[in-house]
Amino acid sequence: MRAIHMLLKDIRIYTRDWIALLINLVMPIALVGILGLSFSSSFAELGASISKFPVAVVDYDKGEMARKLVDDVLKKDLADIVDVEEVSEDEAVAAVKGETPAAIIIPEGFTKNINEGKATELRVIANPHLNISGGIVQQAVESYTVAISSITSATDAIMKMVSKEGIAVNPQEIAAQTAERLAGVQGKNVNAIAFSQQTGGKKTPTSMQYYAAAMLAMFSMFMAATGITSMLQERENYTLKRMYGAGIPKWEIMSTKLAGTWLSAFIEALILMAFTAYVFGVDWGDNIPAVLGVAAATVFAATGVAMIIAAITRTSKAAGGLAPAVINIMSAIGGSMFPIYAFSGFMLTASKGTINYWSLQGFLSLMSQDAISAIYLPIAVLAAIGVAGLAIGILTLRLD
Amino acid sequence: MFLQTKDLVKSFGDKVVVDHVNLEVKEGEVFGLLGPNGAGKTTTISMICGLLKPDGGDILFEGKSAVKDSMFLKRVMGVVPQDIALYPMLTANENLYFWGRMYGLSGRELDQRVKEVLDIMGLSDRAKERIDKYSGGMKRRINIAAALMHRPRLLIMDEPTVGIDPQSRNHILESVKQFNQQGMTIIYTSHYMEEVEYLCHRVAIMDYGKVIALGTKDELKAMVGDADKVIMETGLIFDDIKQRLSAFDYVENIMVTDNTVDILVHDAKTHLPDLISAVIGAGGDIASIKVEEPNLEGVFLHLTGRQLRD
Repeated sequence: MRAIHMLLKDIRIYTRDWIALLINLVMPIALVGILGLSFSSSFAELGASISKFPVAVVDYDKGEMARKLVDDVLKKDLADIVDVEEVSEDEAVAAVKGETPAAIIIPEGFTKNINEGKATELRVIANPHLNISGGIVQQAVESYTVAISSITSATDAIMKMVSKEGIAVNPQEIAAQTAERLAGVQGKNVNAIAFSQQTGGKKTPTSMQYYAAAMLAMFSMFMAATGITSMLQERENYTLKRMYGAGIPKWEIMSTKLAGTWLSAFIEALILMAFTAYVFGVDWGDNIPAVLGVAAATVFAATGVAMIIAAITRTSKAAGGLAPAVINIMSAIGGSMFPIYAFSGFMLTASKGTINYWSLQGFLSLMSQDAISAIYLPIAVLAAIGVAGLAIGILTLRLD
Repeated sequence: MFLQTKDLVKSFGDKVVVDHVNLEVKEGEVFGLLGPNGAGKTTTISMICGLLKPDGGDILFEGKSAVKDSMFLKRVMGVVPQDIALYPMLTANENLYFWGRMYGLSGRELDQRVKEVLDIMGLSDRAKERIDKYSGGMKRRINIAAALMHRPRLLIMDEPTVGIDPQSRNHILESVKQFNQQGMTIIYTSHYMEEVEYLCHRVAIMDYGKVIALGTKDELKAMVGDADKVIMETGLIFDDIKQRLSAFDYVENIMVTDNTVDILVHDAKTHLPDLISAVIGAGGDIASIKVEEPNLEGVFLHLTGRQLRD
């Protein structure tokens, strides 16, 4: 009962802070509207790209591995989304300046280098104005490059082993066989990677849907930071001491604060979902319990990260300075500001370290009517972030 | 004994802040803890309240150790912290309801108690205003009201009048008298000698973490005998003023600060002309002279050679 009164008191204080309310409730709604409309052309491009977009290929190699990339990966595995046009380099460069999102340059000696276990490189020229489609091609090529590296390493390892044992073998035959098997497997992976981020399910999310999910992730973190910062304010206002003086144990105060933080951020998420659904017509997916599950996990992870921020900063003023910086960086990297479809390479890897990325993965899977199993990993990762954050925070935050 | 501290010790790093403090508080009295800033009063109070764990010694409430388990003491104790421990965004009413609930009150009992404490503190007509709109004195009064919600048997007040207007200060002092008349035991810490002298039955004077004197006001004043305090304000202070004044055998203690000379002297009325001559003879330009009868400030000066507010 005492915990409920502590919770109600926090909610009452929070609702009197109009600036915080404005930031946490009105801002995400406004941003969903602004970003959703601003990026609608990019998402329209994405929608069109699913039907098919052209990719220019310049093949200087003409060898077996080059043909595997063109015929098996691009023309077969990605047949639903790309239209391969084999052209000269000049034509490819000109095409990329026009309506073609990307061109792939396969260098001379590509197959030979692979067969001899040497490093090799594929070059992608992307159209900066069509970065989403370009991103898909970039990812496909990177995945294929990973496969190629595996082939090179495997061939090298086998050759070292057989020469040590004194067995006479044909290295080109081993490389070709390894390549055939790995390329087959990797071709499927390329398809899976490229597709899992764009059209894992039956529908392609609209820009409004994307940014509704993106803002929910971002502002859950703001809300959680506000909640946890109030714990530091209790210490600074000496009300925490008064609570201790009234015989309320530390664990009760802390658990009530954490529960209150999670609950208020979750309520904010519900408001945001309801508002965007009714006003912007955002379809959050048919599986409501699963949508709520992803939202709950997102808010839980946000609470964990906010707890770490509180433990590091120790004062509400410092927390108020650090929290927006962390949240904005996470949001920029994690896809809350720019679509993760456009990310590739390092940025895509870095985004996987953020709450925003995993939250978006969960929500977008549900919005695109993907299989329910698609949200298991995002929920598990978000839960792990939350547990780790709370554990670190509880152990290191001093509330004396 | 109602409340007793036995050889209480607390250190922060190498610094001993409370050094073997022994206090005995009787039920129904107002017990004063007097000392300058940094004397160890708040640390002693924090240990009694269960907010700090002592490094050594014990705190006994009605014979039972509160160091091992402070919960039973917390239930019967109200604490008025030195700082305003309230929620500024909530109204006085909301704050009092909240703290009442934290002390386990509910329903009609809570409603009634909120009204009572607002009446006692003279803020019934401002109850619906937010605390951040209150003056410093009004905040202090609600700070006290919150500690009274559960009708504590022991009220601990740590510098409750710091930085407030005279009207609020008088109200607080009269309220403390009233609480005590109703049977409440009070521990009152302050560095304002007049407040302690006005309110307290017995006083412990602390300095550098130690109790340097303890007793009733009369017992403490007897320590300086019949010595009066002569306070001279001078435009210029010369080094040999202290030397010249020390030559008189009826002068007990001299303290020189900025442009003031405090002299503890026996039978000030008789010897005042000699003292004036000595100061003028040393080149001092006397702007004003004040003679005070023995008080706790004088006791502190007598014991430490320093003023309470140093």
